[in-house]
Amino acid sequence: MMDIDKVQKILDLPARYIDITLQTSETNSILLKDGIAKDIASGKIEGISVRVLNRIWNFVSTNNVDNIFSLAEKACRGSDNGQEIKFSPGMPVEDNVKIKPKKDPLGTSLEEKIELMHEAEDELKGYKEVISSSISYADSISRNVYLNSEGSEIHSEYPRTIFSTYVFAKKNGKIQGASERLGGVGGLEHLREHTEVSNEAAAKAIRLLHAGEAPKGNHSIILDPRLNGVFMHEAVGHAVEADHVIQGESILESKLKKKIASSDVTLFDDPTLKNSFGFYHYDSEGTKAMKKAVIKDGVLNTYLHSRESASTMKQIKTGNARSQSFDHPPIVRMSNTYIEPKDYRFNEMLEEIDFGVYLKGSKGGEVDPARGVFQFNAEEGFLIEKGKLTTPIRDVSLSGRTLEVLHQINAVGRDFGLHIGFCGKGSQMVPVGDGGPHVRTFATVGGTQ
Amino acid sequence: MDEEKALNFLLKKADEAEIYYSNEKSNSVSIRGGEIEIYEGSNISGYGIRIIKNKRTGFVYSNILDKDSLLKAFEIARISEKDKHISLPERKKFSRVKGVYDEDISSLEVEDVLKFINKLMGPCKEYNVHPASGSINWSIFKVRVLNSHGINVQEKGTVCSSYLNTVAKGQEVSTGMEYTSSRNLDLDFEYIGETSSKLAKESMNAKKIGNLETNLELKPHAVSELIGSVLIPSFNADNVLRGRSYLGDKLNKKVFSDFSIIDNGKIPNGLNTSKFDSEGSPTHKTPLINNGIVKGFLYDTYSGNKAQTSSTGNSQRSSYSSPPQINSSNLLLSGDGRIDGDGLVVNGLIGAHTSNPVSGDFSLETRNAFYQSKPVKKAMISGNVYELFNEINGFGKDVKQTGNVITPTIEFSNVKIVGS
Repeated sequence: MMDIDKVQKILDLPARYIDITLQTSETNSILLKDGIAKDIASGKIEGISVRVLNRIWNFVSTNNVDNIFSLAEKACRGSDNGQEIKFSPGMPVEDNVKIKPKKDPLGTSLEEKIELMHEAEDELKGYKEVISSSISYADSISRNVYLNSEGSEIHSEYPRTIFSTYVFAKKNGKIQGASERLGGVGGLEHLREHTEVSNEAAAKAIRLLHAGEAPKGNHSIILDPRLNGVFMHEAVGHAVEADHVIQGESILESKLKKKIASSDVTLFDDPTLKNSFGFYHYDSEGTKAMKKAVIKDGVLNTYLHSRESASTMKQIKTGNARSQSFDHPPIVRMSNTYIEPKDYRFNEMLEEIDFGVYLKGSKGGEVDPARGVFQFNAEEGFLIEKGKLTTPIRDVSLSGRTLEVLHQINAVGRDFGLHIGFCGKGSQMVPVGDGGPHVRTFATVGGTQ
Repeated sequence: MDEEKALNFLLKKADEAEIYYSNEKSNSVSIRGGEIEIYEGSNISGYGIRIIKNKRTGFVYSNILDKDSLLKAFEIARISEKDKHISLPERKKFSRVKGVYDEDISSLEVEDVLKFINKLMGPCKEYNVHPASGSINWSIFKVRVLNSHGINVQEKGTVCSSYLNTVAKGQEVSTGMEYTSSRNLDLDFEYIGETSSKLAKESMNAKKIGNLETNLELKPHAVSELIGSVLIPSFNADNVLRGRSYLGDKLNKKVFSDFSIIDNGKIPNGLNTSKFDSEGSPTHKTPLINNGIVKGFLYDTYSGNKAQTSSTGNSQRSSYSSPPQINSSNLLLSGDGRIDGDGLVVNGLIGAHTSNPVSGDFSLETRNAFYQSKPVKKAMISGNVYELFNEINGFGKDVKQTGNVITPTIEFSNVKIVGS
């Protein structure tokens, strides 16, 4: 680790505000391609960034520490360009936080990790349709020191572990792929179900080989926890990111304290959920993480803020400024996104549908937050006919207008699931959790039929 | 230690060894809500180290070439599983490439870029749209590959890229976006600003068109987004050799309409143009589709060995910390036939990465779509990419480099649109 005392001198440079992030991260990854673990990678990166605010921001980063002093000096020279950025003063925070994995990846041999992967791969041998698989494992540990010119000094340490199985199945010349993954903040304790996910991925790929095409048009739909989470993340979460609101790129601009969803909907952004993939104690500019209702009983309760966006909009900061790594500046991001479970059982949701579609899993999505138009793809689906699940369907996509779909939510389940994901914004990827219960609404279903 | 010393150190015990070095100095100026928000500057360098011992390989990355990192590569190679096809490339002849480094980019100062920002945002006023977000990024990089078979190559390069997202507010909100990159400082910032503004403005007062089957014109950005996600992965030799590619068993068969795709790692000014790939193999010009016939796949050294052919110079790394992987370099699409121009015109796609790369099925929401020259409120296009490229009507003349794809607008016949 770099010499903190030496680096601290940067904070004395003349500027309105300065913060510094020092980061050391170590990663190990193993890829088992069709049963052979020949691609193993390991390494470490040490880097530092300095963010200076005068009139506007100036952010510099390097992984050669000797460079940082001259970069920082140059960054402090400032500029007369642009409108002065609003940034309210903050209180200093001193803390040292650490997540201790139950089964430490650093204390587990590569052999043991490979063995786990072979166990998962062995499960696939029982399926004659499976032609190829990629099983991947990765762990990382990131050690950070955050310093700012207001006197904050926060040390943090986060291990993360992730495991995924991607299976390809073939029948009658048709190929389909399906994947499953496990993981979270912590260690190998997250991988207890590694053989189950293998079986589930294989079963899913084979189901897709036999699946029919989706019925196009507007239908009553049920989203499983994973897809519900992705929907809330993509369609609502991005639109409540305050930078989008300030830029005039959010459908939820000027909707604060207004009803934007059915009264059944209470949506949380919650980085405090232990073991989740979107967990943190402090965000990347030293604001304490907090659980907050973004939508409360259908009413838009708050936007997600960095210090700058909260100052600009004269609202309370929410601890949502995150950066991918030391070489990216913090921007407004989500953590774990989920709606609060209510009282519906899955069967009760089904019973009330004469014809509709049950959508499961997510292949990702994208949203135009300014127009409030979203698009995402389910991993698989089932037709709902006369209150029962019938034919499996594949390549089911979902699109619609965020506000319409939110208002039309007419049943919220009593179950709950949270899944791991990565969210990309402005060329930065951060780990997030998406989930919730099953929900029922209306949207446009697309397919290849 | 320096790179040569590190290679010698590795070769005391390794059968083969490789050191990859990269340094990137990148800069950007970003705007948010029409105001300059942040300058960024970074200087990142590091090493990717690969060794092979008894046909087992180990990969390690680090900022510095220290003994611990080098020894870690051996520790990994001891555990990693044997594969007889593993090897590093032999030294081959390299030919020069043009237009990869521009002194004007490397000497750019923030003050110059601020003038470009004004050009970028300039057209917004004229079109009465709001410049929501945008940036100008420029970077200068150096790459070196050194291996135990005598490969010792280096190259420097530059890239400049820019985007602008605009918002127009009427009864409903409409958005526009335009982005482009170049190896030279020849970006027309005013054009980017104007294209984005015009799209937002012209997309106002959009109407629903209902469900229909019609000709579909995909503009260059949309073509690039679609094929990057669903067509190009099937040319990756790793997918082909593992039975995961739809095109794997169709070499020399006619699968598509008369059109061509060439992967060309040497094209002047190409975004991914370089003299050598990330393993130090010379880059190539590889025909993938010729008049609708599948002509080839993309190989690195390992997959070339496995398929008993040779590398096409398509090994790439996203950073020094990533092991090399197969990827396309610059893709050139071309073909005959004129555009009829009476169908749905689509400027961009939302969520192209959610398509099915194995089966080729897609179902995607469109961005800035127009039907019979009028803006469309909502249009989801769906189909299968292999069938779509067998229904090509014609090609436009508006050739554009978007990402690593160089293509004109392409028109397809009889595509299903959900627009209700």
